[in-house]
Amino acid sequence: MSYQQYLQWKITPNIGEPYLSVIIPTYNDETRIVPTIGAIASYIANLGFTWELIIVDDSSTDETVIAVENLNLANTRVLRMPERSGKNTAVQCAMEDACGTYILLTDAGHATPIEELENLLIKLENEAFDLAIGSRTIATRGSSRSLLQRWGRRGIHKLIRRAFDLEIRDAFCGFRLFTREVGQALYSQHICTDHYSDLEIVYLATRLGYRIAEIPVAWIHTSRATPYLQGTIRQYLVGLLKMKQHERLGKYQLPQTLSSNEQFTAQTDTNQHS
Amino acid sequence: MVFKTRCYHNMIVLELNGRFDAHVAPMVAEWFDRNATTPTPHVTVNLAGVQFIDSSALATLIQAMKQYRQQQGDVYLCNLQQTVRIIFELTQLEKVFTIFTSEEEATAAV
Repeated sequence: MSYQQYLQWKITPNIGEPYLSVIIPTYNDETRIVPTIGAIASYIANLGFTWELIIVDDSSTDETVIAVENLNLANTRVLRMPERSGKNTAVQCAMEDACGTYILLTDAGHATPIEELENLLIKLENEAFDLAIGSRTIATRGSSRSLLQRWGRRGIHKLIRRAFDLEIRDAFCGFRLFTREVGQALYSQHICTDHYSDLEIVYLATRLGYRIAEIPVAWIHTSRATPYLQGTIRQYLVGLLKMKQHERLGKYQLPQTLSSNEQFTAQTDTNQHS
Repeated sequence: MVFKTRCYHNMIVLELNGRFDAHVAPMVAEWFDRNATTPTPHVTVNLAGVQFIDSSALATLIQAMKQYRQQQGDVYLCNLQQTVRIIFELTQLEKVFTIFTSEEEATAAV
């Protein structure tokens, strides 16, 4: 039965708008992307709702696009950026193209298993959160970090929270679920195209007062996953300072009261899994 | 990832559990290398407990299969979960490997 559902998704185009859009940004991921698509398709096809897959390729120099197109999946689109544009610009493009009520953003290496989706979906469906963000900092299972990595990460996040009024403990996890309106609104405002892209979206979501659920997720370190403790701490702090600067200069369209240095704390939910 | 092995009269079964990815692939490759010393190595990889298999794991299986076939042996697969089955289907590797539904079927067929 379940394999039949996958087959149906594979060959029969959705009628109308799907319930979920899954966005995977890629760059030179020809060897990683197909197994990840297989895992995602196998799992979501069994959840019983309509969904589409959008691969947005940031001008790969390998055959990532061909690898995906050769799969001939009826409900999969490949968007190609004309030139290397950075993750947030690519994701913005995919967000604008997405038709789902909800939009999941995940990575090409399946670093966070797709099985975590339901934990995020519940928050948006039943508790009216605007976005749900996977958190590796509060992960209680499946974490593959060393003690040094965990301590380093905790330190970084504590510093960030205090200095920039961000209540999110893991602003860098790429496993995120948005309502379509919120996802499109956030990515339409992004400025950063570099290492700070994930952080900038959290920064904007907080400043815009969206309800953010932070959900512990399993995370498996892959060679291409975002590094944190290899000379990047300084970069992230520089990134936050840049965002603060953008905010002060009025480059983000934020509510007036918030852009004038008024303190603000987003509503967050950080339920721990038992 | 947990490794278990079982020896039958005509083959060895390697049972894997968990996520078969770049973290595990070198250990599995090493295991295949050690078992390549027999004249005609036949190994069935039981994937009943594997939920995800990534490209480096696929490459490890392909490399071992090629090596064993050169020695008139082979690498077979059995008990694929749906996710793994779909990954093999999308990568078209289901045509490259001999895939059995169970260990018993594999031992009977080889």
